Amino acid sequence: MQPGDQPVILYGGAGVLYPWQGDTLFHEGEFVTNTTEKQAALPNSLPRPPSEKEELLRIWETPSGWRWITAVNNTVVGLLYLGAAFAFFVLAGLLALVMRTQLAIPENDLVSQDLYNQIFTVHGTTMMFLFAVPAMEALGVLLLPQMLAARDLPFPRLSAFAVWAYIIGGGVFFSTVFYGLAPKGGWFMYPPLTLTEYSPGDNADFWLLGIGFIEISAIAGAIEIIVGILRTRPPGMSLDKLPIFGWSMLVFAGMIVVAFPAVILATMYLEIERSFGWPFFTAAQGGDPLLWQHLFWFFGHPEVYIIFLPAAGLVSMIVPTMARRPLIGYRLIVVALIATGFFSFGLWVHHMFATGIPSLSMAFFSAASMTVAVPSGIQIFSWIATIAAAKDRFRLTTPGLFVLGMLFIFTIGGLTGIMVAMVPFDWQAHDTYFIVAHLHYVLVGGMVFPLFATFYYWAPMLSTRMLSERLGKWCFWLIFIGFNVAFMPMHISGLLGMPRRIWTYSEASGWGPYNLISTLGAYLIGAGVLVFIVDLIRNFRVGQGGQLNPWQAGTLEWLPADLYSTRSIPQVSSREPLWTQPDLSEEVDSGQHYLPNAPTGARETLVTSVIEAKPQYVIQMPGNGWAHVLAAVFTAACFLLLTIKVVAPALVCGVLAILCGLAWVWELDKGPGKGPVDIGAGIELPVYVSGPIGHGWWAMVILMVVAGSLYLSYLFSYLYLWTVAPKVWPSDAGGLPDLKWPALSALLFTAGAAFFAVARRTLPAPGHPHLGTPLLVLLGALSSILAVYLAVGCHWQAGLRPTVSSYGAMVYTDGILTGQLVFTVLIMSLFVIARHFTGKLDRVRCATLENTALLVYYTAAQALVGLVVIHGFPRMIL
Amino acid sequence: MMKASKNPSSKQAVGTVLIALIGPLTIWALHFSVVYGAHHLVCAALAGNYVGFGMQTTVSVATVAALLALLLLIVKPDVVLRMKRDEAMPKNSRLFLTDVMRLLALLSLFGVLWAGSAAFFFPACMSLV
Repeated sequence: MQPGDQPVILYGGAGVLYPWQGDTLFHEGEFVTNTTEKQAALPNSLPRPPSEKEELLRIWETPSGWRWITAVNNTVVGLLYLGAAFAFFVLAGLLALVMRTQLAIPENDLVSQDLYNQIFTVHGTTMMFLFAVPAMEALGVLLLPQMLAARDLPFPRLSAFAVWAYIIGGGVFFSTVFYGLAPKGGWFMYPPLTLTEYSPGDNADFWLLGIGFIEISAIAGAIEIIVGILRTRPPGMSLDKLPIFGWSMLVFAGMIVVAFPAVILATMYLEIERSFGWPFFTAAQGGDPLLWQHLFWFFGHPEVYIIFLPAAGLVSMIVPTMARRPLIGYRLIVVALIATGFFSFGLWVHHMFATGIPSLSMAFFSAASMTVAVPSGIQIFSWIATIAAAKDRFRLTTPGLFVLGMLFIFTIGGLTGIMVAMVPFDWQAHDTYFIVAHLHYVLVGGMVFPLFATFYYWAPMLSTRMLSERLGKWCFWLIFIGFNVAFMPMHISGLLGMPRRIWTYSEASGWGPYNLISTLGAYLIGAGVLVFIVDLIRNFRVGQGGQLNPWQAGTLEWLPADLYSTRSIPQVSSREPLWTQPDLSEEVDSGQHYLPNAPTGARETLVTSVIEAKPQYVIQMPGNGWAHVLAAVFTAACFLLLTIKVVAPALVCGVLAILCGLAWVWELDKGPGKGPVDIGAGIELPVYVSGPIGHGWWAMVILMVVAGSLYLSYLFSYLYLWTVAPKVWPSDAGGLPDLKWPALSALLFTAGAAFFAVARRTLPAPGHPHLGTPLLVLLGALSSILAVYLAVGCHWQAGLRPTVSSYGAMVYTDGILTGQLVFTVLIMSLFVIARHFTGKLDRVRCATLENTALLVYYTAAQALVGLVVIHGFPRMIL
Repeated sequence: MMKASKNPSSKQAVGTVLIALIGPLTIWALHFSVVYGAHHLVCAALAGNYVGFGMQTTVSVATVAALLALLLLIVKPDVVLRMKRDEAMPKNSRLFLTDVMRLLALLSLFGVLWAGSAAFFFPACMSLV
């Protein structure tokens, strides 16, 4: 603010509790956030102090040497993430070549049947879990902050944690194929084949614990992406101006939050049954193998779209640039992305058409399977229309070619998808190579081709040199021709009856020629990927100073950038700001837009409102560090040691992981001391907020959605198993615990939540700590612990055992699900208490307590629902 | 020139976004859950001559209710979005959210109709395999 400017009160600033929070400590009139009505054309004027840029570079510097692994900057972490995902793609591709070589001729014995089983399982698992989803999350981490002109995503250490956990866990999982410990049950791991009886040894456990762990890493990334897209857009980028890739990543992350908990629960069930004999999937004791299929495909089918939608978003970014015109049907594409995300959850049973479920149920899912084709078609037609309406001609550059290749291949995959959505056809094609062809047309066309387009299109953003157009076109044609040569014949071999997952076949089957052609095609694909790797080695050099905006694109990732992202955060007025604001690059780079400096002296970025992207506050972000890296290492070690049943060291690693996690988050709540700060245009913003406006609050709410989704999957399992085996449910009330125990448990859960609600109101003024708050927090946590102890203990006292029937297993699983939340509450409560005694918790600096309280409220709500179901439902059906 | 947001993350703003972006498809999801869940429960737990009729009635009621709700979103979006009260929201955002919600409702409408009509073409609990 300049002297003489009249401040206009907007709203409370640092630590202000807003009216909707129902607290009277601060009121609208008390403010630390001011603004002035300036008529200047741009938020900041020139000349800028020369030290600003140097300070930004110092603050955002990437550590050199071996300390590089402590880096959290999105460009470093994103590139590492993408590089690791591509490495897994190459490794899984090599396994595919081994399989194709084995199948090239009839009765081949290149690999044994057992090794072949391991190879196809690791191939599928790696491609789906270690390549496709991580590659898309990597692109989110890498590209989103640049497209949103944010300095970084809001939780940079969370991204780094997710990446390191994924690299370590994924690396160990993949390596199992080299020493005969890889799982053999297919990427979908159906029981009963994967139960201990039929899959002894640790092979299946590597899949269950390894993949479960990697999915937790994916959820961490998804939370980061959702909050990043909704809260760190540049001023002026209202929702209707959000780049399509932002929309697709928003839907992608939302789908991960809802879908992944189902398979995490399923892997929990299967691992518990394998390790402790709780019969979730054993029919003789009231379990059902189909429960796995329901939970797995509730995740597994959306997974296809989780992979496809971000890729579609990438295509929607490349097509307008290559067509030199805005995308046709922006709103329709947004609608299509959201609709596809939802409809994809109504398709899971179409993987189960051959399991004998009633025809009417199949009709519901068949209808949904066809419905999802409509939004997919909207996107395809929008791209075709944009290409057809190109200014001059659609540029047939390497990215453009890969986009056209994607349109051809994905459309064929979509058409065969419509075929297998029809139940009678599915019965014929089920478990044949027709399905192998279909899924590869969908996934390679829908994800791999857009990914290669992305490599060529966005490489200049990171590299000092562009990738070679000549090599790129060789790469495209080899992959495109190779793909069709490899997979088109599989439609025929499948229709001739060749089943999936067979390691060899007889010459009399007549499948030999088709398989030989497929194998030749697979090697052509390999050659194409090799050309790309050569291109990378020759031309990809990470650094600044490359060609700026070589494709003349319109979006913000092509602004001049350095380690700190853009020098200033632009004011945006259209969907393609670089096309409509021709001087934007110069203005941003000279620091004339928002936040051209680092007013807090540390890493920070701007938080804006959800719909209109109006500036709200400045996040103080954490920098590089060791804690999150070590947390990832110890978390991975804990899971992997558990896999090989080395329990004591695994628990030690678990404790170390928690301690590292606490050390990491200790630095996050930096308090309001350095605010408010001037970001330009006379706007002063707080650097600390709490409540619904804060990004931490948003992350906690999303985490609660994850927990809620997990619990809904549990409730589905409970009711499903009851419908399958009602005889193992109690037949009289005598075997059930007395109702006073669940009532007491419910009372304690409610009391725990109440203690936290009161604790929040007793927070002291800064510098005046008192014992009331920590005491209430401790009481709240202890109440919850006692409540879960009573909830579980009463069943044990009543004689119920989890190993006897699926009913017992489900009852104790409820205790596990609530117990793990209560354990988290305990850790967080001790953390809050520690912050109180170190003077870092008061009525202004209260985000840690607020977020812990949110989890406590959720835990109490889930526990109450659980008590009603566990104690009420058996009495209801008596 | 941009101003700092006056009521930046109000529950109303978040609610508006949620209703517009996920409201119509939530209706589709609820309808889908009800018809599939009811069908699974009926076929697993009940038997008798009236199962087919009961199933058709349940699906019909759920389908009509979902269609009415979706039609309301298409014809009277302001009733649910309540954006007229949010004077701070510019016209372009208001139009965008309204259009997106209507189009999503239209797609959902076809999804509901498609799934719901299945009850009139197939026997209630018979497996064809």
